[in-house]
This record gives sequence, structure tokens and C-alpha cells, in this order.
Amino acid sequence: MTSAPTKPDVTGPELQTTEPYSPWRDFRKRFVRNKPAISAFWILVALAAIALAAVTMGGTGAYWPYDPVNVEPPAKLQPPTWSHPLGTDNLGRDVFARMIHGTPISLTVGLIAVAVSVTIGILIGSLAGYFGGVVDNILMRFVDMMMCFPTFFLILTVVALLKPSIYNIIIVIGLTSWTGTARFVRAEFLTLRQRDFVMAAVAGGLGNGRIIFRHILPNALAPVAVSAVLGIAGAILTEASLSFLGFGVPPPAPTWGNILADGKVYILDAWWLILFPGMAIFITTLSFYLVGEGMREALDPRLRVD
Amino acid sequence: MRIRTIILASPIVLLLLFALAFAVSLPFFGERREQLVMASTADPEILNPILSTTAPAGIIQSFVFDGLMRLDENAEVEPALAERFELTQTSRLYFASPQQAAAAARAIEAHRVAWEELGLEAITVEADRVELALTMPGTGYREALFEWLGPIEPVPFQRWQVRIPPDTQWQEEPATVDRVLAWLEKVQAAAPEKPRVIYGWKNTSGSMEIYTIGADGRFMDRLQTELAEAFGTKVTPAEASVAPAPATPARVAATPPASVSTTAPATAPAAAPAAGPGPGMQLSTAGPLRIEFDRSWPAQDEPLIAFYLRKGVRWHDDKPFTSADARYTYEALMFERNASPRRADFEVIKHVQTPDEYTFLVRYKEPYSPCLYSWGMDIIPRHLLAGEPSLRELSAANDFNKFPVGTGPYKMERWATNQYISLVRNDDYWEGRPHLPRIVYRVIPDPTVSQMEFQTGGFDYAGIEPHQEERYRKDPRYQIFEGPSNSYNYIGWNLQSPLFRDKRVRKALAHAINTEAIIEHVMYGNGRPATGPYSPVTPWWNPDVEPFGYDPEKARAMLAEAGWKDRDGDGILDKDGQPFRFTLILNNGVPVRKDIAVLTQQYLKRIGIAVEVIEYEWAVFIKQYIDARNFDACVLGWSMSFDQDLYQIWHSSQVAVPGSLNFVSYSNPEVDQLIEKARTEFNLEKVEEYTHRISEMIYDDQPYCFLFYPQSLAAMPKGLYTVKRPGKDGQWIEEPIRRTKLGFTVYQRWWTREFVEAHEQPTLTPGVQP
Amino acid sequence: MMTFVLRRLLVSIPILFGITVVSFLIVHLAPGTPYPGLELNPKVSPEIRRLMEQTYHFDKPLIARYGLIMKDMFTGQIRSFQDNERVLVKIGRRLPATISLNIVATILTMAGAIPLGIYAARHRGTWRDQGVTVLSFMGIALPSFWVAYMLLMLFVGKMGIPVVGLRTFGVEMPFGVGLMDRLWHLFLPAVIFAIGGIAAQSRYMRGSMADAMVQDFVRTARAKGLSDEAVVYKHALRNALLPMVTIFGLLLPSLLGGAVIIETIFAYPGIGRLGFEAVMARDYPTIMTLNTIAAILVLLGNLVADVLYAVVDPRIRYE
Repeated sequence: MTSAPTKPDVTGPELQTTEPYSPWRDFRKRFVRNKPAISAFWILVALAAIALAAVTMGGTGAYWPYDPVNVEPPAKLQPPTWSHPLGTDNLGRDVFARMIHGTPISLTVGLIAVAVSVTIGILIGSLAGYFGGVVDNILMRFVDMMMCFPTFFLILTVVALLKPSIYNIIIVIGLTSWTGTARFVRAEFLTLRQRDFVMAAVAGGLGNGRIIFRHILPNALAPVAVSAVLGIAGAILTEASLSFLGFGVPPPAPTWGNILADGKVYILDAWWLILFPGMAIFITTLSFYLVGEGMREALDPRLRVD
Repeated sequence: MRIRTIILASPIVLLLLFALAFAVSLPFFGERREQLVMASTADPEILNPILSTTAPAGIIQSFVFDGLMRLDENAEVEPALAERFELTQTSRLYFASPQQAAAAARAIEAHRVAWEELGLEAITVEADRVELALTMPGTGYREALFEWLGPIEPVPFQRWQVRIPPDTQWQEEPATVDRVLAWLEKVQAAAPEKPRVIYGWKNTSGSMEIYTIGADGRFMDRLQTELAEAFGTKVTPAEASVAPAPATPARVAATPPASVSTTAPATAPAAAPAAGPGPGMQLSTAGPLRIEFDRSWPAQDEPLIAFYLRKGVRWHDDKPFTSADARYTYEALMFERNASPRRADFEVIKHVQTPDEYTFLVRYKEPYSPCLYSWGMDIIPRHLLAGEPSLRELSAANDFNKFPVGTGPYKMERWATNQYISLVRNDDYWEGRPHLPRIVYRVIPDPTVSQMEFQTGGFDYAGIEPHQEERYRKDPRYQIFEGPSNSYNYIGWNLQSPLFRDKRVRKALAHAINTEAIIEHVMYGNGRPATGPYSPVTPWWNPDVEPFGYDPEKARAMLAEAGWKDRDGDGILDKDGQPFRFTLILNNGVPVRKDIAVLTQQYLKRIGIAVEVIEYEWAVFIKQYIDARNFDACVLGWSMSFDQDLYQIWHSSQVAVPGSLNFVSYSNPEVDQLIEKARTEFNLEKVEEYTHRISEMIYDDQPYCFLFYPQSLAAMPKGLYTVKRPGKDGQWIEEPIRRTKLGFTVYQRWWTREFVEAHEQPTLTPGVQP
Repeated sequence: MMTFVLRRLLVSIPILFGITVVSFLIVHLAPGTPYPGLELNPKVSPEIRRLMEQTYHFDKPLIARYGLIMKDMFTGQIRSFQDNERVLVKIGRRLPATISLNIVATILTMAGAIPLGIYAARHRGTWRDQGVTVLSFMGIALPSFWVAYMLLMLFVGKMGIPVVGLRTFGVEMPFGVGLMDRLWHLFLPAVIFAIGGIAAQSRYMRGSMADAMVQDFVRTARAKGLSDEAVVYKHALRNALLPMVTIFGLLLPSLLGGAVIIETIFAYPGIGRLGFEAVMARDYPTIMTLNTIAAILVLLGNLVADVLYAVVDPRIRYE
């Protein structure tokens, strides 16, 4: 269960060059070879670009003539045309503009929620794994407890009962999804704790904080990164499901989830309100999953093609 | 390779199995029995009229139970389980001495010729009081009568509220009520002024009413002190702030008591004020127990409804229906442990009596004209429920709340939780046998799925959303029913907010919001502009009030006049350095309200007002924002009852009541008076006069931006059902289903498939006995 | 073994306690009242609301309320706020629908995941393997409610076939046909569950199959000259399926898990929907009971998985 490769792979023909071994280059080469992952990666880059464009665009458009929040009632429920490539919604808002402006919000929800969960997971996992004993026991029982909750149900309860705001949703998703990270960070720490370089650091009288964050953590980060990427996809899906049940990010901010949720009553009259946001969610989460999986395969020597 | 075959074949076999299942059931899809299938998004949970609060429960109960009265197609009260009823009133005038009482009686006697006009039948004198028997309840007789009395003035009849904080030990010891009553008597006997306490009782939990005659403030103040002392150790005010109960005293104080501040004197009033409202006059705020002056009348008016019940009506279990059941229903409503949400209408009742099996007398404490509507209350069977600890805690063997027994046209058949409820017809229904053998009520939680299921014929009629109307109209398979509903949508302005305190600003906002466009685009034309707090389906609506109309220029001018101008050029109006910015809140899950909010945001942006829209989950919305008065403006709608009473929503006395419905803090003394008159007046013409005036005044004050009265829409497959119902003259009336003021479900018990054969027609038994 | 099970059970007690406390705090510290439909009803005066609060102990301090709820919960007397029925009875009534849906979905999942996993493992590293990987991630990435809507639009909207609910409504069918009809109504929700399930389980299957195929005894079998089929389906598969048995232990908790949305969309009267309705109605006793039961199921499920694993794999011993 080691994370970073410790010795160069001699079977790969391209590694027989004289260049010095670099884990990063090794990783990149394997990742690039994974066609689904690399295409998914470029899709994510494109999404990030769209998100960036949407943010710089501000309210209305340097790049697009329609404002995502500007209503135009007489133009309501128009099917896709050249001027409205994804149609208009029930108040005559341009769905394309709304989708574009929903991109940064949907991505933000995923990214920050995962940042929250990874931070908590690393903290708890490393403390438990490094100190062991009573600390480990208490923290792991806490983890067990968190894992016992039906997660989506718990999120739903909290979001339904609290003020629905984008922050609450992010925090709740983050607070309920860190247990996996905590568990394997702990496992990594348990192994790494016994390694010579850690022993040496301990013997050298370094502080616990320094050992945890400078010496052990960097070695345990690779799998954390993989799970974080996979977690983003999960968080985006969770946000969409919450929106669908009416507890998503409140208006006027458009997210893919609430464009879809608002459109569902028009399902028999305006299919474009359901199809496009659903596709966007699907493609985005799929891309994150594929990139995550590609990273995992590129990192894990056992899964390497032989 | 057996394993391989199994593994590879299993998915194919499974899919084939499902295909087979589909193929086998296919011929049966679409075959329907002779029944009416309805659908809703929620399960009723509980089917006990005393306890239930949900709309689905109401629909099913309307088939299973009957009230003493019901509303006919014109939304007028007609007798149901009661064959007929009589309204009368006993009024008492109290005088300072027996001599004065005798003089008053003589004065009244002198005008005997005019008695009939007033509805006065007889008078009796007893010591210092004169008792009048009136044929018409209400206070309309007073004007003429007091003219006859001339200088002889009656002593006012007063009501006081004893407020005991909910966190005292009081609630756990019901016996304390008796202690308080004993106390009243003792204090009364000891008082030098010898005031008369008529009666006092525990009204709702933690509150008691005391009725007095001519008691002054000093006496009541002393009574309060002594009462508080009597409670002594029982009063634990210190814990009040710890308990998270929503109605803690702290919260009361947090709500600025708008009306109290203007009327409440710091000290006790020397004498109770004469007739007329004087809400919230409190004697003293010391101590947690308070006696508050509520109001006073120049006479004690006690209306009486005598219900003469239909004979021969039987419960679904064949036991006879009698006045004991009606009485039990009232007792169940008032029984505290039942905590009935329908209690409010019955709290004005003084007592009920059942002189015989088919007579039910209801005595009211004061004239309350919507009382007849309240007897649409479903009557529940005493023989199945008496002896239970409470309706909320039925004994294990009693499944009444899930399998109710009533007198109605349909009987409970089966309740498959969260799937459907089926009802079969009651062959012995007192009005005649219904035509359709079965009524089924399905539960389909997702409205979109429900829509699809309706289109495949999964149920027979559906309420439809405005945007779907066009599609259904084009579809030759469906017929559409439409009609105005007894409701309206509005934007409520919080009048405590400095932004909306100015009436000119509110009127300007009314001009700035394009109601017509909202109706056109959000409701797809299914609505008409609202012009006040009553819907056009009631006679209370004033047809002469004109809507303000969309006029942004005028709005801008009016705002400028009120001091709102864009001085700093940021596109937002400002005044005294404050920009015109507010949040508009609404509950989630109601697309129409959301659209209204978004459009309002746009319209106000055009005249330079910045609006932020926030959606909350319903319970949070109500608890933290509406109940707490913690909002600037809100999008909401009222679904009204057919009576004329607006007390809870518009009376200024409700402003200070925590959690009450006057959450916009509307206060207009003239409207207060009219509301009080309207709810005590039994003469419908006069009630109309008052309500029309109320509509006019409230619309002019614009505490809400009244948006529209929605048109309600329903669809049904063409030619499916007709109505065949007993008419008032004893003939059967056959007609197509149409929409009445009550919606189009009013004669649902008489729905019939077209192919009902002649011999199946029930024989009509008008009036009494089958 | 016994001591292992006992120790695990003992450790579960504080975990369960923690869960009840947390779920109690979440529902009770949140705003909102447990009596839906009473807000903004002109006929419901504040006094009546106060009366309701007393009836449901909302006037008591937090700790007292917790005590009351826990007492009721462990005596099985805990009652729903909505209809005063015992929560356990309510749950029991929903159980058959949920269990049948779960069983069908599990069978579908396994029937799909095992062949896919084997296929991917046998073609490891080729474009076929990558194809399966992409497919399975598509399955995980599909928002289930969206798929449900799309399928409904197809089946109900376009073809007019009844798929909603437990069975076709208002139609009398002979017994056998009725059974088939019920099975048909399980199809779409089970398929939607299975789409995600197949995706996840086939990844798992592929992993354990790949592990098994490089082990010594498989190499030996190959060296003996057994056919490729025999090696894969007899020797490797048996070992690869071992870890899959633990899945059955982990299935228990899924009784309550992600079914909320699918059960709501398909009007399927299961436990997920019960939970959702309880949240909407602030039915605290039901929410708390469901949370606690879910937790018990997870704990039990893990234990069963561990025990099962030891039973099928003699190499594993618990001290």
C-alpha cells in the first residue's frame, strides 16, 4: 500500500534513458497514456476556462448577449434556436447564459466542499495514525460514528433544517464526507511511522508537528489527491440531488442543479430545461471520476500494465 | 463450463424475466373499474377531523364524515346532519341597582310596538338585571334600545384575560384551575366594592378568562397581586429564559408592541373604559402572572344555535347518530390533551346542551357570526371514542385515526400507507345511495410524475399548473374546469421597517409592480388583479375597488415626493444617505412565488430599488422570519375560508401577539372597528357593507401589494363523469360536472359514470328517513 | 471468534450513544416546529400552538426531552408526531417494499457487475478494459434522478406504460399476473439502482479478479495446461468472489441509504421516502429512530461482513 513509487520501473522502455528518475515525470507519462483520463482532463480544463470567463464576464456579456438573471417574460419557454442555443426558461431567461454562469458555482461547491473534507480528513487521520493508542482509539470511534450515519439523509436533514445557503451546503457536504480520507491517511501514517526516516526524525528530537507535516504528510499526499478529485465529483452530484429535492443553492444564483430542479415541472413542455443541465452535471462528474481514476492508476504501481 | 454459462446468462435471463413480466401484465394495463381515482402528493397521515391538518385528510374526511352544516354550491350554509337550525340570543343588561333595572324594563316595555323590528321577543327582570330574548343574534338591537333607555345607563360587562406564563407549574396541575376559581370567590367576597364576577374558567392552556360587571382597575390590580401570591412558590420566572419554548416572555418583549405603546397607561385605569376596543391595556407588568383588561360591552349578549338533528342517520357501523355525538365532538375539540388545531372557532362557545337525542343547543359567550360556518366541522362517533385517554393516544385496539367511521356517503375500505386509500359507497347514506361504488385516493409524491401518471390514465382528475393549460386544451382527450379560487397572492411589506412605513412608498410600489404582466406570464393569464383581502367568490369582495395599475413613471414621481431620489448616481434611490435596498423572502418549493419574486426584483430594479431574493424552507421561513417579524418583504398567499372574519390577519390587537398572522403589523383603528362589527353582525347585508368598506380601506393602505386572485384549473378525461344529485325541491338533477364557488368537487359524492343504468338509481328520500 | 464478536458489540455501544446524541441535537437545535400545516392558519391561535408544544414536550429542557425520547425509543414506544403511530410500526409497514426493491436491485447489480468485472480483468490494460472503466464511471456519474426522469419520459410520457408505484393501479389481475405486474414495477427503480451499483461493483470485481489471476495457484493451473476458460472461471473466479461476500454484509445499511430520491420519483412506499417525509414534517421521533436503526445496520453489517469473510476464508482468524 505504498503510494509513491520507490524505485524506477525498469520494464518501461521509455525509462531506460539516462535522465534521472523523477516520480512526477513518471506519473505524467503514465497519465498521458491513459486516453479516457487525458480527454477528461482537457474537458475539465475547458470547464475551468468557461468558469473563468463567466466570472470575468460579471453580470452581462462581453462574450454573450444575454444576462443569466435578466427576465424577459414574453420570450418564455422557447425551444433551442440560434439566438438561444439551449432555449429559454419559464421567465424567458437564456438557459445557455444560466448554464455558463452556473459553471463556476457548481465547480466551487465541489472544490470547496472537498477542500473542507480533505482538511478535516488529513487532520484527524494523521493525528490518529501518528499518535496511535488512546488518541487513535477515540478518533477512530468518532470516525466509525460518522460513518454510521446515512450520509445523504444526514445532509438532507441538516440542509432542510438550516438556512439554505451555498455556504451551508458546502460545509455540510464537507463535514460529512471526510471519513474515507481520514481512514486511509491514518493507514498511511501507521506504515510511514515505522519507516527509518521517520524514526530518524523522531530520534533527532524534531517536534511532532514538524514530523507530521514536513516528513510524513508529503509522502501520504498522493492518494489524498486521488480521493479529493473523486470527491469533487461526488460533491457536485450531491449538490445536484439536493437542488432536485428543493434544498440546493438558493436563487438567483444559477447552478446546474437548480436549473434542472426549476425545469422539472415543465418536463412535458420544455425538455431542454431538463436535458442540458443534466448532461452538464453528467459530463463534469464523469470527467472528475476519470481523471481521478487515471491519477490512481498512474500512481499505483500494482495496477500498472504488465 | 457451467459456471461461465450461469454468469454470462444471468443478466440475459433477468432481462427476459422482466420482459415476460411486462408482456404478461400488458393486456391488463389501462383496464379500469367503475370508480373515481384521485391523486395527491401527500399521504393524509391521520384521518381524524379533530386532529388532522392536511389537505388530503380534509378531502377524504369530506367523504367519510358529515358536519351539522355544510356549504352549498354558492358557498352558503345549508343544513346537513342537522335538518334545520334556529338562531336566537339572550342578552342581559346590568344596572347599578334593582330600581334602575326596573326603570329600564319599564322604558323597554313602553316601546313594545317596535320590538318586532329589533327581533325582541320578551324581557324579564331579575334583581339588578334585565334579560332580553332576541330572535336574531348580534348587537344590532342596541342602538334603538339604548335610545329607549335614555339616561339609564347599564354597567359595562367586562372581560379580563389572566395570563399565566407557560413555564409555570400551572399546566401540570389542572386542579389549580379550581384553586383559582375558589380564589376569585374569596377575593370577591372580601372586596369592599363588591364587584360581581360572573364566571371565570380556563380557556386555553395558561390562560383564563374572567368576566366581571363593573369591576374597576384597582380591584383587578389587587386580584392580580393576590393571585400571584397564591401561586407563590409555583411561579418560576427565572427559568423562563432557559426554556427554548418559542413563546417565552423574552420573545414577547422583543416584539415591539405597536398598539400597546399608544394605549396602555402605566397605572391602572380608574374605571374600565366603556364599550369599544381597548386591547392590551395591562394593569401592571410586575410578576409573571398578569391580568389584562381585554374588552367590555354595554350588555352581555349570548347567542344560541339550536340544531334539530336528522333522525334515522346511522354511523357506518350501524349505530344511530344522536345529539350525544355532536356534543362529544365539541368536547373532543376542547379537550386539552387532544390539542386540536380546530379549536379556535369553538372557544367562543360558553356551553352546549342536549335536551334530547335530536336537539343540540350551543350557547356562545358573545356574538360571533362566522359560528355557523364552524359547524361544518365533521361529527365523530362518541360510541367508538368515549373512554379513550385522548384522541392522540388511542388504545391499541382502536384504529379510528387510521380507519375512521363516519356518517358520510363513503366508508373507509383500505389504507395502504403512502400508496392509496380506498373508500366504498355507503348504501345507507341518509341522502340516498351514491352512484360510484368506489373512490380511490392515490399518493404520488412527485408532482411531475403525477402529471405523467395522469396522462396515462392512472387517475381521473388532476389540478393542473397554469402553464399546462394550453397543452390540455389542445388535447382532444381532456376537458378543463376553471374558476376563481377563494385565495390571493401578495407581497407583504413589513410596516415596522422604516422603508415601508410611508404609505406613499407602498402605493408607489403598487404602481411599480406590473401585476398584469405577472398574471400573463407567471399564471399564463389565469388570474385577475387582486383589489383587497377578500376574493371575488365571496360576497365580501368589493367590486368597486379599482386596481392601481402599472405606471412606473408615476411610481418614480411618488417615491421622489416621499424623498427617495438617486442622489449619488449609483442607480439606486436613496434618502438620508440610505439606499433603497431590501430583501424579499419566500418559501421554497412554490414555483409561482419564486417567479413572482424574480419578476418583482426586475420591476423594482427598473425604478431604482435593489431587491435581494432569498428562499427558505417553509418551517424556517415561518419560524425565524415571519413569526419573528424578521423580514422586509415576503411573497405569500392566503387561502381564505368563506366567512367574513379578518380578525387574525388584520386586527391591530394581533400585532403584539407572538406568532399571530398580522405579521406585517398593520394597524388602522377604523379597520379594527369594522372587523369587530363584521364578526358580530348576523345580518348579511350589513356584513357586506362592512367588508366592502374594509376592502377599500385596506387596499388603499397597501400593507400588502395585492397581486392576483388565481384562477384554479383542473383537467379530466372527456365525458367521464356527470353529476346526478338530489335538488332542493326533491327532484333529481342531472348535469355535467361544473365548477362552483367551492371548486368542482362540491357534488363529488354524486358523481356518476355515464353508463350507470336506470335501475341502479337510488330512490330519493328527501329530508328524514330512508 | 465469540470474543471478537462480543468486543465489537461492546465498542458499538458508545458509538450508538454518540449517534443518538448527534441526531437528537441536529433535529432539535434546528428551527421549525413539528406540526406542519399549522403555521399561518388563521384558525390556529398561538395558544393552540403552545398546547401542541406541551403535548410534544417542547416546553421541556433539552436534556429531559432527550431522556424521554431515548426511553421511548428503547422501549419501542416511540411515536410519530404526524399520526401518533408507533414509529417501529410505520417502519415495519414500509419494510417489504424497500427489501424487495433492494433484493431485485442487488441481483441485477451482481448479474451485471460480475461478468463485466471478469471481462475487464481478462482484458486488463487493453482498450476493452478502458472501455469498461469509462462505462462504469459513466454509471456512477449519472445523476440518478435525471436518469429516472429520462426513463419516465420514455416509458410513461412517450409509451404510456404504467411504471409508478408498487403495481398497476385500479386493475384487477389474477394472482400470477399480479405478481408479474409487481415485478414489472420493480424494474425501473431497480435498474436505476443497479446502474450505479454495477459500476461500483464491477470495479471491485475487476480488482479482485486481477489479484486472483496473478496468484500462484492460477499460474499452476495454467501451467498444467488447463484451458483459459477453466482457469478463469474455476480457479481464479472462486477466489475473486471471496471478497464479494462481504458486500452482502454491507447491503444491510443500503436499505435506508440513497433510496430517497428514487422512491419519491417512483411513488414507491419504502423507507427512504419515510425518512424524507419525516424530515419535511419535522417528525423528530421518526428521524431519530431511522438514524439509529441505520447506524445499527451499519455496525451489524460491518460485523457480518467480517464474520462472513472469516467463514469463507480460513486464513483469517479473529482474536
